[in-house]
Amino acid sequence: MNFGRLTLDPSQKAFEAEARRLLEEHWTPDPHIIALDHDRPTPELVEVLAERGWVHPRTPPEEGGAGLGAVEARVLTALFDEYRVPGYDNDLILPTLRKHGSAELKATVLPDLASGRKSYCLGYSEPDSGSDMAAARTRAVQDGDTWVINGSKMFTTYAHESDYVFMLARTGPVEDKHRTLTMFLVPMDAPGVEVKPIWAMGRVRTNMTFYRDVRISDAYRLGPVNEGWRVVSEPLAAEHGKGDFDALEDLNGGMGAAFTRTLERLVQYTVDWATQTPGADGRPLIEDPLVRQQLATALLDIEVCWNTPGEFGKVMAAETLIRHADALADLTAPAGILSEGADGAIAHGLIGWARLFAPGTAIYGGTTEIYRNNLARGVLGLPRAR
Amino acid sequence: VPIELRWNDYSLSEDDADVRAMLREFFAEQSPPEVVRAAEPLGFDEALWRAALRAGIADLSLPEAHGGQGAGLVELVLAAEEVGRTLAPVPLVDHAVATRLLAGLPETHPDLASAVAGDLILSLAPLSARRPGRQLVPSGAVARGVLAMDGDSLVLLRRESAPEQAPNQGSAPLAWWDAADPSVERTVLAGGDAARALWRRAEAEWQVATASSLVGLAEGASLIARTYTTQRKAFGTPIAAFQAISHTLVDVHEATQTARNLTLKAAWFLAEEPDSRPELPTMALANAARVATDVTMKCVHVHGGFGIMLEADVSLYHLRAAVWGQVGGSSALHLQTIGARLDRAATTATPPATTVPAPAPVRIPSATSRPAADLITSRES
Repeated sequence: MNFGRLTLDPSQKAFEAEARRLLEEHWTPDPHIIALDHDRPTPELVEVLAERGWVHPRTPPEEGGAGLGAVEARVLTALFDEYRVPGYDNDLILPTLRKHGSAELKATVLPDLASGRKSYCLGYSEPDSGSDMAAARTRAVQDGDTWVINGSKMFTTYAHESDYVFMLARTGPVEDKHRTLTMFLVPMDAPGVEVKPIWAMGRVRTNMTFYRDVRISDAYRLGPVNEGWRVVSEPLAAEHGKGDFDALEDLNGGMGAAFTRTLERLVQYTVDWATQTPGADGRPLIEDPLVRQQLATALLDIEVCWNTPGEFGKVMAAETLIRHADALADLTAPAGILSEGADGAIAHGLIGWARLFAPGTAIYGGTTEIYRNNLARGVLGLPRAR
Repeated sequence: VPIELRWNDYSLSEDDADVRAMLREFFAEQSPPEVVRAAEPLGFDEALWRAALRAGIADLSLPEAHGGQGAGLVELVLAAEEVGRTLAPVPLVDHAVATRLLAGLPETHPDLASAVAGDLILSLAPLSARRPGRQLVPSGAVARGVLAMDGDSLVLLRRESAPEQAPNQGSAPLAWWDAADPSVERTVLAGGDAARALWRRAEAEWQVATASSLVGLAEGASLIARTYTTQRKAFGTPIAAFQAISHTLVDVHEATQTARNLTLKAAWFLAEEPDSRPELPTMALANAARVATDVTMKCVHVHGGFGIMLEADVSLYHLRAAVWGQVGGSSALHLQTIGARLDRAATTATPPATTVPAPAPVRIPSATSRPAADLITSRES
C-alpha cells in the first residue's frame, strides 16, 4: 500500500513545464466544461501531441507513442484534466490492428492511427441492436477482392470528426448470430458513408451513420471472416475497464474517473454557491446543517467512487453522478435549473445541465446492466443471466 | 501551481498478505457459526479470546516493548476484517485500540502490562468527546477498564467487574459506563490539547478498525448469499441465474470491495500522514456502516423465507450489522465530521455581502449544544 506524494525528479519537472508551455500555447481551456467526453481536441493540439507521441504516451516510439514512464504519463493525464483537454486516443483498437490487420493496413493506416493524427469511431450499435451487440444486421458481402457494406449504425459518437469506423458487420445468416460477424475498419470518406447528427440531452452530440454500397478493399478486414466476435472481445473488455491497474492510475478506470471528476466540479460549484448565498436568517447557506449534510454526503460518495475498482468503477461513478446531479439541482432549487445566461442562473447553468447529461453515463460504453451481467459471470462465476 | 501526484497503490505487502492468510485461517477454524451462537447473548467467548492471545492475534498491533506483537494499524485492520467475516465473539478491535491509546501515554501506565496480556480487557467510549454523560460502550460488558473523554480530560474508568450487558439485537457485549457511578474509579490520564490529540488518534483508529470489521461482516454475508443462490433452484434453474438476484450479488460484492479499499486507504493515511486526510477514518466508518446494513438486508432477501429464520447463518450477520455500525454514532453525526472538508473547499469563495445582522450561531441537531462551526473546528488537526 502506498498513497504517498510522488516527488518529481528534475527531468520530470522539466517535462511538466514543457507540457504546460505547449498547452498554454496551443490550447484555450474552457473552465466551464466539466465533462470531457463527446469532444475532441482541436486539430492544432492533436498535431502538437502527435508530433511528440503524446496521444499514446506509454507506447514505444517505434509504435507511434512516446515511450514515456508511468510518472510522465500521469503528469500528462493530470495536465489534460487541469486544462480541460478532452480525452483522446486510439488505444482501444490499436492492439487489434496490430494483431489482425493486413500488411497493407499496417503499412498505410496504422502509422497515422498510432500517432493519433487520424482517429476512429465505434460502429457497434444499430437501430435494432444495442446491448445485444451481436445481433448486428449491417451486412458486408464479398465481391472479389472487395466488400460491399450496407446498413446503419446508431450512436456513432465522433463519426463526424473521425477518419475510420471500427465496424461490426454481418457476413452470413443473421440467425447464426455470433458465428457470422466480421470486423472491418471502414474509411469514413469512402463513397456511400453518410453521417447525420443526433443531439442528446446535455448538449451532447452523437451520430447516426448510414452505409450504402460502401466498397472497401479486403485489406480493411480485421481478423478472419466470421470470427468478428472473438476479434472485438478484446477491445470490448478494454473499453469496460478490464486490464492491469498500475499504482499511479485512478482505480475506477477512465470513464469512472471522468464521471467522478465531473461530480467533484459540480460539488465545488455548489459549495461556492452555498458560501455566497444567504439563507432566510442571513447566514450563508453553507452553515445550514441540512445543506452541509447533503454536501457531505456528496463528498463521501465521491470518495467511494475513487475507491471502486475496475469495471464497476464506471457503474458506481455513473449512478453516483445521476443521484447527486438530481440532488444538487434540488438543493439549489429553483436557481439550479436555470440555463446559463438566464437572470438568476447559478454555476453557469451546470447543475441543471448535469442532470441532463447524467443518464447517458449509465448507458454509453455499455449499460450498467451489461456491466453487471459481465461481472456476475466473470468475477462471481454465477450462471449465465436469464 | 505544480501538480501534486500521489501513488494509488492498494496492494498489500507480502508480509501483510501472509498475516491476512494466517488470520483468515485462525478465525475460520476457531469461530464457526456454532461458536458464534454458543456465545450468545453476551457475545464473548473466553476460550476463543485466550486462543487469540496465544496465537499472537489479540495483541498483534500492541507494542512489542510492552509484550505485544508490535505490528501496526494496518495489521489491526486486517485482523478486524476476519473478526467481522466470522462474527468472532471477541473484543479484539475495542481492546486493541484502547490499549494502543494507553500505551501512547508519555508514562507507562500500571494497567498496561495486564491489558497487553489480555487479562484486563479495555475498551473505549467512542462518542464521549461529543456527548457528555453516561456512555454506551462497545465490549463494555466484558471490559473492566474504559477510556473516554470527560470534558477536557482523557480519563480511564475502572471497575472491579464488568457492568451488566445492555441487551441488544446483535448479541454485542454493550454496556453503559458512567463516570458518576460510585463503583467506577476515574483517573485522569491527560488534559487539554494533549488529551484531545490522543483521543483524536484513538477515535480515528477505532473508526477505521470498526469499518474493517463491518467490511468483513458484509463479505461474510455475501459469501453465504452467493453459495445459497447458486444451489437453490426455482423455475428450473439456480436462482443466481436471474438478473434480479445476480445483479444484487454484484452490487453487494462491489460495495464490499469498495468499502475495504476505502478502509485500507484510511488506515494508510492515518498511519503515515494523519493530517493530510483527517476525514478519511470517518468516511470509512460511515460508508462501511451503510454498506454492511444494506448488504445483509439484501443477502437475507435473496434467501427468501429461509433468510429470516434464526437458524439461517445469514441472520447472524443481519442481527449484528446495525449494532456494530451504529455504536459509533449515526450517519448524520459522521456527515457533520466529513463536512469539515466543505469549509476548506469554501475558502476560495467570497462570503455573501449581507446587511442582515447575524443571528445566533447555527445549532446542530444533536445532544451537544455547541455551535456546528465550533464542533468542526475542534475536529481539525
